[in-house]
Amino acid sequence: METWHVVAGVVFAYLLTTLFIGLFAGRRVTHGVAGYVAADRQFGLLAMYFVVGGTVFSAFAFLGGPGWAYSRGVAALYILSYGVLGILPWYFLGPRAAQLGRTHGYVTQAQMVTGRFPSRALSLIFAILTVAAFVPYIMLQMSGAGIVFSAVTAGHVPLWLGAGLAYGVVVVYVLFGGASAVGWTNVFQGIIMMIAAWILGIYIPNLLYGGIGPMFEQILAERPELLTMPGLDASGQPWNWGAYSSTLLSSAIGLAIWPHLFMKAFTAKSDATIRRTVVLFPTFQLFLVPLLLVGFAGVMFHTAPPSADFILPHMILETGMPTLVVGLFCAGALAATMSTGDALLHGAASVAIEDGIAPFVPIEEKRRRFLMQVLVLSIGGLAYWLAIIQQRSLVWLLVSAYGIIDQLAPAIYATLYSKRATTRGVLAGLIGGSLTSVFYFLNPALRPWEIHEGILGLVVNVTLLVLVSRVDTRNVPMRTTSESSTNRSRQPVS
Amino acid sequence: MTHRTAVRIGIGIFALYALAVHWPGVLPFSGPRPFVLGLPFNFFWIVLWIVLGLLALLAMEATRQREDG
Repeated sequence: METWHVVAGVVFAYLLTTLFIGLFAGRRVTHGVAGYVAADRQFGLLAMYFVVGGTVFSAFAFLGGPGWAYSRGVAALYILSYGVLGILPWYFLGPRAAQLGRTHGYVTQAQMVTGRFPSRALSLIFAILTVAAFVPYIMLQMSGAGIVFSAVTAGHVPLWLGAGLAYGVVVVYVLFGGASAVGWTNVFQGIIMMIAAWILGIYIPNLLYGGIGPMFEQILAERPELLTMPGLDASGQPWNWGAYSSTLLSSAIGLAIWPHLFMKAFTAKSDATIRRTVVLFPTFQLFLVPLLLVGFAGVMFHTAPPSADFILPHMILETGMPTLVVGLFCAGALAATMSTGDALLHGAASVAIEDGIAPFVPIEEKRRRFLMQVLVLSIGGLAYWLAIIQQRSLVWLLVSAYGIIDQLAPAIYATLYSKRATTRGVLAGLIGGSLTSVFYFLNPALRPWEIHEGILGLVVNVTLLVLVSRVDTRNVPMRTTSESSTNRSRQPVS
Repeated sequence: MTHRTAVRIGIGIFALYALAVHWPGVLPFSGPRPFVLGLPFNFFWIVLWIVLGLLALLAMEATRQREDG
């Protein structure tokens, strides 16, 4: 029996276990929207910790991060920096959003925002931006799954088939289980990921260089440019500080705003659960350290992977690791892509229907859940098709998604904290910011100091929000009940 | 320490964190030497702030729990 047969066996065992957990968890919640989207608000601390960690710790961390360390050196430190910085606002935003969610029955961000700023256009824009940001993020996760399969089976399972297999499983449990399935599979996936990350990160530098210090000494002697901040750009030239800092800032601002993470506020059991999840979040960020070390270990290695995103599987296969460890890595990496991908698919479909369709066309409860499942399939299918034909770098996909998601931040902060902001102000900011962000995304050469398009969009967004709100005389007071909560009350918890 | 004080200190630490990892605050710490715990200094610097952030959050949460009883 060849090695890749054993590895494939381990991976299939992992996929089956995930499927089982996902389907089993899905049977325990109610069948209405609150059951499907918000899992009847049942998650305790353990589940929430892994749900948040598993959701944020994605294929990007497992493959893209080491890929950056390998090809762009300390530029990858931005990935370490933004996570903890970006999660802090959630300590305050999360419980506040959760309280509004409980009072008004919100299950999405746009419902919360339009509860304060009543506007169906606003809801529609939120839905469009969310889905637009989710598609590249889902593509990233699918490519990641494909890369893992293709690398460890020596190309016997091509990228399209690997991505298809992993996401076939994801779609099945998201379809039948909803938020609850996503949560409980993430607990399992989170544990697998953590074990895999630490074993690999400590073992590989020791095996190849006799330790982490000696490894960096060698890199510094031979490739000093990799260890000088801000590292290198995609073409191997020294990176620009404007690009480094603004990419970091854009990611930090976007992190707590990501709808799939933010919507967890509506699934948490209590405010204390949300706060404790934030407190424990930096421990997840520390798991990136061993993964980056594996990327650095590849720098002086005698063979090179087909592309930087393959560095982690490449190192594992080329260093003659025991087959079981290779299998564990695959399961860990797949867990990372799937635990984010499932939340994204589920989030994208929920948002598309709740915010994009429901405010315009009344849909009865049962039909809404069915439509949501249709959307999981179609958004998943679209992302899969794009992932196969496009094959962009993993980090590029994530960075472009952040540019879009950042634009939701001012509206959310205004909803929770501003008394002066008006609906027109928020709308103007959102539209102006998004257009600016798209413009610079399409014309990267025009960006001043190579600043990330998300930040440029935010400058316009916040300026318009403040100015238009100030000019706007029709100041809308805080409403006690929202439009959405009156016609869409929460389902009773069974 | 009251929760209010812990939150203030926490936010202060995070403000410093933001300065310390972005340009230009990160410039004095952006070189590889000296190595600390086997890591180049810039790498260590970023990890150090994750740990400081964790401690700040822990203090905020511990004081809140104590006050909530």
